[in-house]
Amino acid sequence: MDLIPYLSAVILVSTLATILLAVLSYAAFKLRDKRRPKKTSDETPLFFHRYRPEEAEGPSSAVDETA
Amino acid sequence: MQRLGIRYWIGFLGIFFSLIGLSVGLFELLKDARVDLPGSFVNISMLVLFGFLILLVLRYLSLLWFSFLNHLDDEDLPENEFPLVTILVPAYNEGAVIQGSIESLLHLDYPRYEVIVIDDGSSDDTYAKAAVYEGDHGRADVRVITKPNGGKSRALNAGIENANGKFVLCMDGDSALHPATLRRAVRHLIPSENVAAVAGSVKVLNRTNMLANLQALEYVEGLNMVRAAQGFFRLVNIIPGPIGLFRKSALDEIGGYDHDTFAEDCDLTLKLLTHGWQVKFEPESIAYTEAPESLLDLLKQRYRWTRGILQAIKKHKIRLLTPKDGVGVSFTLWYMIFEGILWPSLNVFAHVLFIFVAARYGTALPLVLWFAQLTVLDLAAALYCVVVEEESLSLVPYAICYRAFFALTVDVAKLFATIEELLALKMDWGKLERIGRI
Repeated sequence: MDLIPYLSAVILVSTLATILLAVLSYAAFKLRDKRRPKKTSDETPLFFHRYRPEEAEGPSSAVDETA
Repeated sequence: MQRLGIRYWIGFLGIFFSLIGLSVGLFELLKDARVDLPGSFVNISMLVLFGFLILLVLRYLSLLWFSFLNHLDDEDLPENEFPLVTILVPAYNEGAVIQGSIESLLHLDYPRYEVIVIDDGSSDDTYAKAAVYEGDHGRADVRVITKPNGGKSRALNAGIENANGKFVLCMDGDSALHPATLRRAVRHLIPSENVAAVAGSVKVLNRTNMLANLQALEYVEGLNMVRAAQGFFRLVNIIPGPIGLFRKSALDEIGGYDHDTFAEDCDLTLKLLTHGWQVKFEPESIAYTEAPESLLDLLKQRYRWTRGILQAIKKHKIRLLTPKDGVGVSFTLWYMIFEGILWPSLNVFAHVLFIFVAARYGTALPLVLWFAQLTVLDLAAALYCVVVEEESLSLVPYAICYRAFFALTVDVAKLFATIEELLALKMDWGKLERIGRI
């Protein structure tokens, strides 16, 4: 039995499917990216008050602020 | 050399004889092949594909050869010559992984080092989770600083300003380091004052599905092998974000990271090279990182990488045409254009052309031979890379579908990203969601 035609058909179909899937996936990625909620600039931290060296008086103040 | 030599020679001989066998086998097959090629279009197409094949084999052979030579460089330092190293961990909304990342840093095999976690204005609990580790941990001293959100490059620059070490290791908040990382990387910077940085080896931690395993193989074969080959010339063109050890004086000289590209690691490396510094590669300095587990996340990552690299090339384009200022840098930039633009385009084009010719003219035999030889080549290269990096042999079978499915899909995304970059379409960082497996 000559396998060449079958093998070539498998290669052809799988390559074509991969390229199609790749293009569709890329389109899906772009679409998802567009629909993603945009980040707002005034987001506040949910958990802690941040320690910022320039605002703190001493190195130990980080612990107090986060309590 | 004595410790690693035999392993590398076995791997090298394996790939060498595989390629010889492949060439002989193909020659024998093609010698007797009877392919009726109707029309000059098909002949030209076959010629183009044959040229692509030759280019591919030559590329593989050069990379394998030079990466092998790079692996031969293996000298250690006396214990008292290890200076203080600062590890910088920039973190933005890395709450899921930051503690695992810091944990891995407390157990490094290195005499003394400091860890600075830079919280880049996270809106999750990254800072809180990192702050738990602040203080002295024996050989490691951990500090956590926070700043308003400004991007990874600004966070790293803030860390560099606060670093006390002679050498600075930059990593990602979602990565973990192998214990030998510092010890293996520092030995490149001590003896040679011209070496500014050492790129480490990145490995995929979350090998949970087929896509992650294909990326694990890609990191070993496609990224680390290329960096090893470039490392032989001391011209590594991208120090990966998850692991790069830098000479602090070199970073000070070039002004640290810029924030005008989406690939700050590539931009920084090119800045170092254009300032005359050298960049090496150390395969045993290892960072484990989370790879995208879904196809869309993978495409998002590759989209950003491609556009970022093109932006970095554009920034340094003047050096493309001025080889007299440094042949190595010019060559590196041209090579990046080849790898970043030409190669993915050529790969997609070759596949489309082959499909068209095979479907239109029924050239079944060349099609099968083409894929068979590529698969054998990929398997041989994967085997070599897996052996030299002491990776899991279970990665090797993934080479069978690596080129036909994974590389082709990624190359299509790269092609689109290149077109968008050439059209200067707007983009943003598009941060990946972390799963928290570290």
